[in-house]
Amino acid sequence: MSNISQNDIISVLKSEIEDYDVKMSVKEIGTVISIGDGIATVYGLDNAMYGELVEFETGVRGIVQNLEMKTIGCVLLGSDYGITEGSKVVRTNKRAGVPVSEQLIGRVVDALGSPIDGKGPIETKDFFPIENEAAGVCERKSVSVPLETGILAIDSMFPIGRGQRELIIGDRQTGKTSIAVDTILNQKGKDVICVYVAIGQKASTVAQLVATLAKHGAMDYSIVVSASASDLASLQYIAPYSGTAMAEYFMKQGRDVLIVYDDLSKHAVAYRTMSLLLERSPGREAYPGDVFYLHSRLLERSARLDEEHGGGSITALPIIETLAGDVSAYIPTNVISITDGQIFLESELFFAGIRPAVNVGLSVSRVGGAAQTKAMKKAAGSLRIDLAQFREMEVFTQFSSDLDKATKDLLDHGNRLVELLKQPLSRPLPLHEQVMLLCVANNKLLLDVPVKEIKTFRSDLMDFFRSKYSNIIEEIDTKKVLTDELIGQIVTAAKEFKK
Amino acid sequence: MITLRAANYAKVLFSMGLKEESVHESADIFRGNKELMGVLENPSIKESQKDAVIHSIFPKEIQGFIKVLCANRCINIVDMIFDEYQTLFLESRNMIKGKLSYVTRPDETELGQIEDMICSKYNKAGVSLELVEDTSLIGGFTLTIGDTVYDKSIKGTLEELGKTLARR
Repeated sequence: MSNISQNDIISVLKSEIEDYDVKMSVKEIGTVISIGDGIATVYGLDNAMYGELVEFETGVRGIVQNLEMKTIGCVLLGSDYGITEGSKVVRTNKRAGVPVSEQLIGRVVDALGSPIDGKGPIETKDFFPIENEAAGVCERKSVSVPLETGILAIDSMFPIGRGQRELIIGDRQTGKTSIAVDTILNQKGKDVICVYVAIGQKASTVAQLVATLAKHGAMDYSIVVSASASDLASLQYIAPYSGTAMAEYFMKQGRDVLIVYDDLSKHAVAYRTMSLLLERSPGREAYPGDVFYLHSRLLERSARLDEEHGGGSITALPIIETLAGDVSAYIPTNVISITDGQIFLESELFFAGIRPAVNVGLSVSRVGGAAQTKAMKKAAGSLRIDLAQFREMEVFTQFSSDLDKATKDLLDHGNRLVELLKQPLSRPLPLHEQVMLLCVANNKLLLDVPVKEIKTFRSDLMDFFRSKYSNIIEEIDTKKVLTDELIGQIVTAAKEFKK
Repeated sequence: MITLRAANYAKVLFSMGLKEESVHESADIFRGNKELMGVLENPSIKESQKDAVIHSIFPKEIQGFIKVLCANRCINIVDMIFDEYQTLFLESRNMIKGKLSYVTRPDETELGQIEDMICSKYNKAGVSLELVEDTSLIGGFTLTIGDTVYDKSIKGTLEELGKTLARR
């Protein structure tokens, strides 16, 4: 801006005024009859469409949400300051949308796509509507490519495929966001664009998250859409749709996108606020009748397109916060039924030090199995069953001296598996590491390692593999298959290390 | 502004098939006497007394309708009811209501051209055009038909130019 002189500005203004074409403007204008709590009732605008953008005198825009006989109900997308009874409202004939471009990558934007990170304006050419129709049946392809989270417990037992919708559900402070963030970090160098949508969160939490992403170099392929707790309910309501519109822009270019909605419980609460203010009838837990459709139409936009349509994908990781572990509440059951599986996190496990606190029994991935690599499938083979058997027998741990050898071995093996699945924050594991660790555990090579030493054993073992057996690592990474011969090599190498 | 309730009362009034003059006369009585509204709205005045006032002021055929409005405590929306009645009345005659705001009053030929344009655009047989002088427009005119505003005023042009420059 500092390079533009006064004369330049004057000449631009002159040319603009000289070239200005005076036309008769035709506008449809309504009148505000009541305003409050971010909701305006407008008289007139008989032809306004549901979801259309309208502009108020102050320049603030609103979205048409209620169509009544003589009036329309609008939610404001900005401050209501200056809008009074009698203010004029103009139709724009446009649906609400966000500007999209490649330049969005690495930026933090608000629900309307405007930058809020102080890094200057974003140049955009395209404009995507926030509410868009989901891809049809014929445009889709089944999920077959894995989206690795880098978290051993998830990649081995609840694999996620590109185009899948996997719910992350759990109480507060159980590590839901951490799983999503780790998944984003693990996409580095994998040509996946990540969109993180923060809904109703503290601005400080979002700032912290952006700092974490930047620290690990993840902002190079990520977009953060933030509608924080202080933003209007209307902005919190449209934020996930805006994020999805941005994701769709990249999907339509044939690219793979990961989108995290953190969290949809707060999104439902924002929608409830809006609906009650719009005087819609409250239903169960005071949510409006269409709260299911609110989330189903959002998550249905995640898809894997076939080659004819570019072959891109949107993988969604919606997050739901439960109260006291109640998964049978209204919103959790709704979203569980919409998604293709859920990762259930438990406070008890979390405080017992099992992190990620994944409840193996209640978590499931319905379509991800098809996307799992052969190597991982073979390595993870009986992991879930082993853990289930362990959980069943766990209560007998206190009688360990009176137990038979088979039960004792089962408990020992289970304890070591649980220890192995523990993973610190921001340390996603690559595929080969996960496969080799599971292979070592399945061959009972951890039984003679004390539980407390598993962590150091594991890192030392991996260092040993990296220094001496890089050929095994390479083979797993390139072929993604675990042959019996390769298992033999891993076992021999592990035994060699133990000596 | 018309509320749904006013629209419903207007429909009833229109379906009663009263003489147009009676309705217009009643509307004028209300417009000319603001105190009358206060009396008819006042809950402390007995209904019999209100009825006596209605009998002495309004044309005979509309008296029943106004009594019902008073009984249902809807007399405060009577202006809206008459406005909506006017719209229904014009619609029944395939006519449309419009408002022309100007700085310099157009002559009869120009008015005729404007009315013809409206009739052909909205496929109507006639126009009930309200003419209003508005010097704030600086120059030109604005034409309002329903929600649609055709703006060919200097004020509107300057506003648009301002927006264009702000966008740049």
